[in-house]
Amino acid sequence: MVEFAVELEGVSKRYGNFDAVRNVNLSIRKGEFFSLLGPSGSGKTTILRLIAGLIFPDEGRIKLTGKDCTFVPPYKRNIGMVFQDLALFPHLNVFENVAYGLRIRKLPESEIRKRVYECLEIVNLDPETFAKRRINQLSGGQQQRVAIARALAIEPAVLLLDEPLGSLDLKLRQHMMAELKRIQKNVKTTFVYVTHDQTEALVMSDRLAVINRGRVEQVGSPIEVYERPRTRFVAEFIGEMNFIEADVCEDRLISDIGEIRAKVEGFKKVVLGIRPEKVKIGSKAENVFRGKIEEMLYLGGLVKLNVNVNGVRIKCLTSYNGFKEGEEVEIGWNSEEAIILEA
Amino acid sequence: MRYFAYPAIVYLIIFFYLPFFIVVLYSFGFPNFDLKYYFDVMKPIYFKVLLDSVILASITTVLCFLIAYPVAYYIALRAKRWKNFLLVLIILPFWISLLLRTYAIMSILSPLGLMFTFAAVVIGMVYDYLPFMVLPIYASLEKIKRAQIEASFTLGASPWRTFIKITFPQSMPGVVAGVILVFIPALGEFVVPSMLGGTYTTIGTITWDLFLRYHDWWRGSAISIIYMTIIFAALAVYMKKAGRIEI
Repeated sequence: MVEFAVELEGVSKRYGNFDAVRNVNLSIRKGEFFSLLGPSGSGKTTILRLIAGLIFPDEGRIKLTGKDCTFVPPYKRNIGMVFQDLALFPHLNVFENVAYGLRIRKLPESEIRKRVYECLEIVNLDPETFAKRRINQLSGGQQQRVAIARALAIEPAVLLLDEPLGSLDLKLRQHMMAELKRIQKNVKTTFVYVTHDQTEALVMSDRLAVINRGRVEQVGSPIEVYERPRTRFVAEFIGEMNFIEADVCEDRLISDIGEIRAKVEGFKKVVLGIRPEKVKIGSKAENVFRGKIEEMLYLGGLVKLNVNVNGVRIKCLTSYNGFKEGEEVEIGWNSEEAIILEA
Repeated sequence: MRYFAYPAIVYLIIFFYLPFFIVVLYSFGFPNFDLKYYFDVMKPIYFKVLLDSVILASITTVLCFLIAYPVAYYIALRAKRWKNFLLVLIILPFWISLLLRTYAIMSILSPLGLMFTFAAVVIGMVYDYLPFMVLPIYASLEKIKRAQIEASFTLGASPWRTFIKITFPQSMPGVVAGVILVFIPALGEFVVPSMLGGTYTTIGTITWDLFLRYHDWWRGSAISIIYMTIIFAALAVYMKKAGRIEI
């Protein structure tokens, strides 16, 4: 039986007339790296704050490690949280920041010291060098590590992370992504990670939930969500996608670019989605169309093409093979690579 | 750019350093030189008055702190969109002169039969100095990020412990500033004690009497210098201690 660290059952939260979170059901497994991915204002941070107990839901139940915690205040839940702006305590040094939760729990001094040093080592900060530093003497990346160490020190059942990498520059962000994944594998704590950045979610997560307008659009592994998006929103939000509207006609689809072979049942009108990198140039595919290269963007090795097929613009991502703007090409894809979505 | 500082420097020289220098001269018997005025005012009564003033200023400061802190806390962390309105309410009394406000207090206290009592002086002092305590505490509390308080909750600290360990320590610069802003002027205050306290004597009223009632500029100057030296020394010690509070 799978054990769940966090379970949300029919959770809703309203602010005035605004439905921030609508009837959300989620089960986050013990020990997994789970991301809540969505655009800003989609309600993902609200869901995280509900799990933390910083706010309470209007409807539904929240369980932590199997126990109902819906209305338990945050200081009585065993959760750790890394805040967007880190929220380190500026009047305390690094050691005291990490020790904070342990002092609240009144652990003996020797144990506190041991645990603080352990946690600093987990996040790759040398305790001897950093323990006595003040927060304002640390770089952004180091502050990040202290915030993670502080949240991990109390050995939380779940570690909640609210876009912790948002304020870092690209290079540091990539580095911290790898670090976070390493830390999570190391401590085996359940991580719930909120982000609007699809790369972060795809790279780090075991599973992720795509959130849109307060609802869960899809839950799955990064591969499932990317390869088999269930809604148009998911298909559009993660990665790039060509959308072709089509009418269903027996075993074929009739669209502006021509007839497309695809298996569709139960719908009259559909949207067919095809990822740019799945579009093949040349005629070795089940569905082949003629088009003209309108625009070419050379990315170094890879090339991005905008191919006009009967007035419909199809984006392709492929390796460079002597293409020129204005050139006529054949493009195509195999039917199993296309995604059929409800129109 | 440093030329911009000149008007202030000139102003301070004309209206502070020069008069101060004159006071020093008078304390030594200007136009003669004589130390007798210092010996004249080295009497227990003048130190009793200093002690009374310190007690009054301390009570004022403590009461101001006890009243101001919750007010500042509420405005800074809870008031949300009422914040600016409440701040205006705190500052509003400054728009009316101290004298008028003290008259207003008199008209409230006299029907209650409180006039010319120690309580009347304390009420008037607290009323006059409260904003000087509220504003610096508000300013330091306002800087504390809400997320820090939430972080403390998630680390297991109850609201009370969060206040003790996170909020209050970070508001200390405001508390220190407020204490200085209230205690020092309260120590030298003479309008409120003389109007509401009747014969209640403070270092403010006693120097006022020496200078303006008895026209004894020499003894008035001598006692001013002595009071100033003592207060300055005490303040230096306090500032040094307060400066050590980590922030």
